[in-house]
Amino acid sequence: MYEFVWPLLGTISAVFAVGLLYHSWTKRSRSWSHVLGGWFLAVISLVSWTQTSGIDKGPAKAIVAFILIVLAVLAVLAYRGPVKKRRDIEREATQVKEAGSGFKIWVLRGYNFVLLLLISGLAAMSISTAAFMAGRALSAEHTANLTVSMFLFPISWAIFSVTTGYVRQPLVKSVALCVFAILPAILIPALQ
Amino acid sequence: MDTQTRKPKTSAKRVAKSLEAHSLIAVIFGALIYILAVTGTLSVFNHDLQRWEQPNAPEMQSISPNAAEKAALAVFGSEANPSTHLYINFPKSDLPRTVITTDTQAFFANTDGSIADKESFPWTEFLLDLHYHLHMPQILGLTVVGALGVMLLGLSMSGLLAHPRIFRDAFTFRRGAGRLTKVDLHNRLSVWTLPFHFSNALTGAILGLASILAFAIAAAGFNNDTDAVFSPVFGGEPAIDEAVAPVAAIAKPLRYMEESFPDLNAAYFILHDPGTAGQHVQVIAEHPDRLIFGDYYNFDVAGNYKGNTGISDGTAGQQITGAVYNVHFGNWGGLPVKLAYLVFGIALCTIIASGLSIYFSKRRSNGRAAPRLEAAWSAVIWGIPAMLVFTFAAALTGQVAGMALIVIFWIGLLLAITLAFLWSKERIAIWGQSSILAGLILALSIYLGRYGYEGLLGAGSPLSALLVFGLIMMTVIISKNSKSRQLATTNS
Repeated sequence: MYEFVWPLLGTISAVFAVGLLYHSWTKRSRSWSHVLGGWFLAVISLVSWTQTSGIDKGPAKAIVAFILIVLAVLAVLAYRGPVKKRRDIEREATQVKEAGSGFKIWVLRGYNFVLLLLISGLAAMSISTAAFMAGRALSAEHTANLTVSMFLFPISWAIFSVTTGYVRQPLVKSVALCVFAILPAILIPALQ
Repeated sequence: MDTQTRKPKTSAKRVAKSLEAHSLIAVIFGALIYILAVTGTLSVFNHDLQRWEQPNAPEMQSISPNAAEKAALAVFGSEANPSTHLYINFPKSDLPRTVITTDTQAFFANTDGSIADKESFPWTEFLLDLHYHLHMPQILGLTVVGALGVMLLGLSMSGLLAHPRIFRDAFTFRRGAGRLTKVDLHNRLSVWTLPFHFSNALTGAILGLASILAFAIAAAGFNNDTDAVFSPVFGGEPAIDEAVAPVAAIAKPLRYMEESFPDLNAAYFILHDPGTAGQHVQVIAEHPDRLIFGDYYNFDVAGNYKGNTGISDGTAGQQITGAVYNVHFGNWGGLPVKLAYLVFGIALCTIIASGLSIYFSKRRSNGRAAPRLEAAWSAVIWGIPAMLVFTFAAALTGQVAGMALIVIFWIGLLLAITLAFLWSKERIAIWGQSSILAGLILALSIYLGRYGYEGLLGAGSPLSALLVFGLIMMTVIISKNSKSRQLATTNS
């Protein structure tokens, strides 16, 4: 009968949480009471949504509701914000010629593509397979061990990809990635 | 002045290098990630799309176990060659239909168990195949899509590293400030929808890369037996025995589910190796209070319950793995969650589109303009939805399906990108937007002509409403852009 109470409380507290956090953000001096109040209401919202469903679905609903409310606030801010005449930071194109179309740039892009997609992927696969085998050697429970590897594979691949773009020295990143790809693969037979 | 003071700050260097990583990944993979973002946003509504494509199919809230058994046996009996699986898809709130599926065919069932029309939703199949495999062969396509999920994950990480004022700028939005407005839009949407696009990229990558990870782990520790890797999570298959046997009980397990688990929703009945001595029965039942896709409830040939696999109450690993699919596809909270995923999906598309626009804008400012590449990006941004709408209209005629849709989509997109070498990005955008609008009007007209108002307002009404909303939005965008162009011409 009172099924609507928890979602309603969750929504209202999320609205006020975002409102308080926004209010503290607009103030020139830091207002801890607003910040803490905002986060406290966010926690209340999370707890309320958790009551509506199971342990996993409730918090997921809370996150969805919170993002939607923030997006609504952002939409209102974007619509109501004053249009200020600003200096046009986009300079006239001084050179219409297609920059970066040189052979060297394309070779570098191709090289980075191979590093990002293949070598980083191989390194991530090698590490996550070795991690699984290490877990098995330590008698870790199979499904937990597999889940860790399933999450580790894409996350480590993404970290390697970001590092590939971050590090400027091609030789350093190539060697580092190859070491990450080969070393765990060498260790796998020892873990069998 | 000494050289020490001229050195840029470490944090500024970190931001610059993170931005380099961010743009490198975006420039190389942006277009493909954008295809996945657009198709993923639409795929959330795949059940509604299926319903819309075939509005005359028999609908029901539930079907009795006896009627389901009668329908399943009728379809199985009509098979020319023995099928390795026999499925019953039970009615759901967003797809209130019963479908009997074998390896080669699928039919709707009526409430009395008689067989109705053949199931056919060519555009939804085309859309899902584009999202799952980019129209490539299965495992290769899945892996490429998984790798693109990884790249999106990398974009989220590098974007966060490149954003040192994340809290100070939490609500900043500078309106009418040219590139700064685009930067604010990109950053605000990226930061606030981070839980969505991070979890979506991660779950998409996990789903896509599961096969090759299983190959690697199986090769390392299970003598290349991939089943041994996943069977502790999803349950194993018994040994195959191809000797002929009577088909297993169907109605009895369904009745057992109704009586013993009244809070669960039976979603699928699966009969593995039907009509053989090795056949076995599973019912996948959804748990309405959980994020998991459901749990497997196993029965023997006579219909006696043998226990569940444990996705709902087994190990933590089983329960987490069981939630990956639903978290990715947004089918865990009915229409409200699907609409939320639509909003987040549109936000993700906007983030990707604005990100590369900022990149090209910066290049222009630095005197390294790339007008042809910029126009090509505009062709990708508007060409992909335009070609999706045109294939949609083509499929609705009932004359175009399968490979023809794939060819139309890719050739159309290629043509749009080729036009970028002749036209400016503004002209490409105008053509793209007008094509989307024209395609939507065409699709709705074809649909109306084929199924009448009954089809439009009946089974497919939620999707009709969404399409009309899309039509209005496109009209608003086009008229707004046209006004700004007129204003710019007058000012100049």
